[in-house]
Amino acid sequence: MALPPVYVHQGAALTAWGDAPTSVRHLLAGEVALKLQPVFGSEGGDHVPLAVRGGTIDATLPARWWDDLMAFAQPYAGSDWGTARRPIILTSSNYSVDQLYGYTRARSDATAAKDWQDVLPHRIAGRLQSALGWGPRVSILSHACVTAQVGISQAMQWLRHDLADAVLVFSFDYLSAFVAGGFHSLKILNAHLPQPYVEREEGSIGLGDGVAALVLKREPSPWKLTGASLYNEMHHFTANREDGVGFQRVLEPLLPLIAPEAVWVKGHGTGTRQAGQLEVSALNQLLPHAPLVGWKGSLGHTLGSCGAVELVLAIAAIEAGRIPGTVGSHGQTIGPQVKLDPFAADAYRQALILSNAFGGAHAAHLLEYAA
Amino acid sequence: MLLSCYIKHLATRALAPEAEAAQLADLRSEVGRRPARRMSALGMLLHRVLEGVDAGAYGRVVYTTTYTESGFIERFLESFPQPSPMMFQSSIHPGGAEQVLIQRQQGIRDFLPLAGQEQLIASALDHALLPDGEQVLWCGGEERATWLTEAGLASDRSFAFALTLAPEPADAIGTLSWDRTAFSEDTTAIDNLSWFRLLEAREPGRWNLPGGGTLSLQWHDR
Repeated sequence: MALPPVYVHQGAALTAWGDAPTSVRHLLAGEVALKLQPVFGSEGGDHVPLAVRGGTIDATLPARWWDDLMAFAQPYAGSDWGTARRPIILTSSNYSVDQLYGYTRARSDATAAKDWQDVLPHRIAGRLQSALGWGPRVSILSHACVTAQVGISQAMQWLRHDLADAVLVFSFDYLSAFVAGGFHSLKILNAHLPQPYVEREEGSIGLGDGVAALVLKREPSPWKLTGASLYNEMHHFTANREDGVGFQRVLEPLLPLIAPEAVWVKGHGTGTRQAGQLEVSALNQLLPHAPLVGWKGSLGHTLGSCGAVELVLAIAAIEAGRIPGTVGSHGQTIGPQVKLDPFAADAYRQALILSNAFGGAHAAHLLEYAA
Repeated sequence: MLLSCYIKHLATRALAPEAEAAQLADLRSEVGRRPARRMSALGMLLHRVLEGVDAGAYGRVVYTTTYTESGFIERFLESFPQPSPMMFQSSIHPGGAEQVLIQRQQGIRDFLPLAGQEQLIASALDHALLPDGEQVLWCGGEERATWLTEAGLASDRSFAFALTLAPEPADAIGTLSWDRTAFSEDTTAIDNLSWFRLLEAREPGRWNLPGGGTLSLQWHDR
């Protein structure tokens, strides 16, 4: 069944650099937001690359990110959101897990522990609904680092089937010792700054705070989402299949929609060796002429929000006329299509936005714009 | 818009709180010692209810849970300041369903892991039921933890369910209908546990959910 395209009407994002235009300016200047900081915040630990809004990852009461998130969300306040025809999809991999970490540290003191209330996704969703005057139609999605793109895909489905008039995909992931400690335990968050898509002995990632909101509708805008694809390998809890089949499977349904000479790719590109090589290899086979960039070497990996954050930044970059290169990476790249330097947006008319997550989960969206 | 589909397969399984340790041991033997080694109670329960279901054959897989991998989350939190990599990777949502599908090496396309409480079942219906003719697998559940349960931050029951939904009626055991635009003041909250109990009892009925939407369940063998 041929389904109509879906259009992005509003897009906004926050990274450690600031809003989307500010983030793109820093990316175009090749600047890295990641800074080496203690993995457990004020509790210490090894220094690892983190890009944090406000400077700390400590679990605090109220949550250190609450005011930041509220200020960002104000344009989306109002009771017409969260209704049957204007539903909201909340997407995050962590929600308020920092508050759970804080609760755990305080739990030996019953009086102190009772203050840590917003420790579950539905509780933080309830606080958002109440603070922003949203109606009840709020879905809570959580699928690790592809979460935001799963939410965008579902929003597209609802719009294409006329089950909604507009969908707000609202995404946020703020760092905490819970998450940083977890990635550090896997040894992929280490003392080295990430260099996505570069030949290195040892891979490494950085983590960053990220927030994004996208309003999607059927009515045309300059930003057309023509395709969406999801694929879950279910091969291993953290690793992708070594044959890279997941990176190919997620692209296959989109290939008929892609103009191979007119597309650029915003890859997942966290800086891990195996995933980077598999992603480059799949793109080399299927879209060998498409320039590939990754921005997590500057922004850090903003986890479940990354797909929405980087889609908004892609739009802001196209509006600015130049696409940032793979910031933070230097030297020999693992594929000729990897671009380290910025290039002109008007040489292309499609952008492919990719994410990859634990469980071998993959997500892809194709954005079309007027050259 | 009223959307209806047919229930082709239903499986439920729960652990009785008073006999959970013994029942968990039975479950471990049923699942097999080797696969059970790295599985949570929720993972093993899902393993059983998904027996015979080829998840890869479904266009959408919806997974619903309020608390998810509570046992692994507890153990990960307890492992600080030397966080355990195994507990971290196992604690990540949607680990319960992934334990089963990874063990089976069963790749799937659209996977929609949902969280929530009062709105969880309405959300699942919104995401599962689309007029696109896709077959849908909907599974979910919870597991009882220890100190997180005592604090009200994890389920006090361990249970899992799986149902498959299809657009055609052949061999159906029930019908599920969802009108997302219906609204009534007289509502019934259905959370993940209530939903499990409705399925387990094969209870027919019609429920107006808080926030809008009317759910109908009919069982063909009743």
